Amino acid sequence: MINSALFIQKKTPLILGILLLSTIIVSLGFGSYPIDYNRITEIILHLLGIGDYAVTLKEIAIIEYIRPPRILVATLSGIALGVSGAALQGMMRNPLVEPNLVGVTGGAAFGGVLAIVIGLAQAGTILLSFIGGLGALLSTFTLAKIMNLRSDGIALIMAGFFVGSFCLAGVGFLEFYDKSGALPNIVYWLLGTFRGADFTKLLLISTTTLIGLTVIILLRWRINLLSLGDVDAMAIGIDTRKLRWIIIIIVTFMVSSQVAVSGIIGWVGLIVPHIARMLVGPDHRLLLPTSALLGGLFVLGLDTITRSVTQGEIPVGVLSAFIGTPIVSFIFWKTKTKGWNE
Amino acid sequence: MRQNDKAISSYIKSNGILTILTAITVISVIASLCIGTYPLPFSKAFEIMMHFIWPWSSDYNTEWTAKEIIIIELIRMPRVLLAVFVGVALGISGTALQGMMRNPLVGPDLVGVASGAAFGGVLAVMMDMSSYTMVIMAFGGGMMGMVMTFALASLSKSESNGMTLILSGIFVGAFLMACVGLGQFFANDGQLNEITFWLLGTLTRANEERVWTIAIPTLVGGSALMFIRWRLNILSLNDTDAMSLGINVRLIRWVIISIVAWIVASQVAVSGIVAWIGLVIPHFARMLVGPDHRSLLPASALLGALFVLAIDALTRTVIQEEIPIGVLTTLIGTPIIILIFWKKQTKGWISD
Repeated sequence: MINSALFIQKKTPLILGILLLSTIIVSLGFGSYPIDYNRITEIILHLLGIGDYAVTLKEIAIIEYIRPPRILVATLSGIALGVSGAALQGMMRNPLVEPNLVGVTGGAAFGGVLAIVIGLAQAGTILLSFIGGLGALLSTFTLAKIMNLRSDGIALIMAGFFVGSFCLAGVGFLEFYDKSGALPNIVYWLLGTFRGADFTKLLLISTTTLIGLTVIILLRWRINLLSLGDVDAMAIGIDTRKLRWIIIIIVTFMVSSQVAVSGIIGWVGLIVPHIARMLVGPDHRLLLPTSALLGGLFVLGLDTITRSVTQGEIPVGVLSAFIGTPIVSFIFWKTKTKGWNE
Repeated sequence: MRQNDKAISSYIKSNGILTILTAITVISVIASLCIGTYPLPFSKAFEIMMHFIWPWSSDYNTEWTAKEIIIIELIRMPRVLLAVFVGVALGISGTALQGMMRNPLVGPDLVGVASGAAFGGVLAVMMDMSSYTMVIMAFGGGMMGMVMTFALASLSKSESNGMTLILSGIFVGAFLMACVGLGQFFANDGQLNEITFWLLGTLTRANEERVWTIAIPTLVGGSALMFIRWRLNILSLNDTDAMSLGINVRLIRWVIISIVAWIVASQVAVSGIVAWIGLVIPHFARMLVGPDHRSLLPASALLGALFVLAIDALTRTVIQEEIPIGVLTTLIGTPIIILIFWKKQTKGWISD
């Protein structure tokens, strides 16, 4: 009995992977110009040069250029957020941590907006996003250490909240100062949206996400050891300081490129690891891939909903906060905020 | 006997501080009337203001040009008064909340009142309601936000170290702001502009009607809080002690919550979300006059007014551009609050 449960747990990433792939294909058909699946198969076959079907230019444009980048960017954003959340929670031994709450997202947004306002190219935007995100994360950690309100982990969240709101006020300030007319775009981008995803963005987020994901997955054993506690981890011979830094940098790298591409999408990094933990338990060897896949599924699902159900495309960030916060409150209630330290 | 002397001397001291604060506030109000893109001499501003508020004053002095009178009475006066009332409202409600919750990390924008009021206000804007209905909606939203926060906090209470409340506030606030985002999304272009600019916190839309909208709740609610200042002191002991002194803790809590929601709702309705003041000001006031709510409440009110006046004066003169005041208060307020936490290694008061 136990064995079969374990078997299912081990197979969860595989099942989720298949589910994610089929969702990607299914979501190709959704949108303001619905195309049915036989037609999609025909178009794809046509594009691959296998069959010869009569397809219109419009259909080719949609299936080749418009929907795939958007769908993949959404999936990869979700993967980045899910795995970052799981890694941060494991590293901090705190179930209430996520990129948004520790200030990374706010800092990255500030850096990105700064780059837009002073008119840098896309590479500059990403670099400044990264610097902003890293700066914010470091300020949060320093602040939490300085404040040192009993180490039940909530100090970290308070610190993250302060840093995050400071960064967002900075964003407000820049928005205000901006004379280049980029304001509506900035506002809409920051609310979190995949509209306007193209191949450049896809290239960017796929590079960072895949590199980050690989490194984190390679570190999965060590994250397991980190969640024991610093003393135990050191006794086993892990350089916890160095490991922490690596994780912080990788997470910042992934999250800031996600913000640069698709704005602030909060709460995904918090709830996805919890759901993943319910599915496969606390072992990071399974938890990390499961969180990645679940994150991809969740964000892709949200994006598909906004572009098909609602007419005017509600920003994904708004939708994720709308759905995410009640779930978070529920988790908060269930876990009684204890943090895992005690 | 000695203890008594000490109490009396500290009473005199805090009364002195309050008098000085009042004087500074009055001077700042007049000074704010002088500054701006069209500067006026202090004495002239004072005379025009006195003429304006003195009910049986004579005709306008012929030395004053129509331009000067218009600037003082119609343009700067509402704005300055609005700034004063916003500061008073936030300072006093922050103090009341902190005293009531025995938690130094609480502020109106952290327990969900401000975002709830914003949500109510956005709904009102979208339904094109009048400004009075807007205050009512904002009040409803603010009460809802605060009740949600308290409910969530008490549901998930483990060791009540006060942090639970703030975390709940963050969650509820994020949820309500997502609701605001949905509202913004469904709003048409004109409404969107209005909502976005208003929510960032602004004093630019000051007019007589808005001054009244915030003045009445602030004065009435503020006086009500002043009336129960003794009980606030007793509440900050702790529940058991307060009950044994014959205070109906539950009732007092609800009264304070409703008053704060009313004050903050009117503040949000006229000037949007002005963050961090309600959290920072009570700490400064406590440094000046100590933890006794009899002097703490008025000191917070005056300091709040001074702070908002100063920030508003800054935007009007140095920066010369109308930066949303909520943005500025966050930029200034967060470093201050961080400094305070660092200095005090804040523990929440419940523990000790």
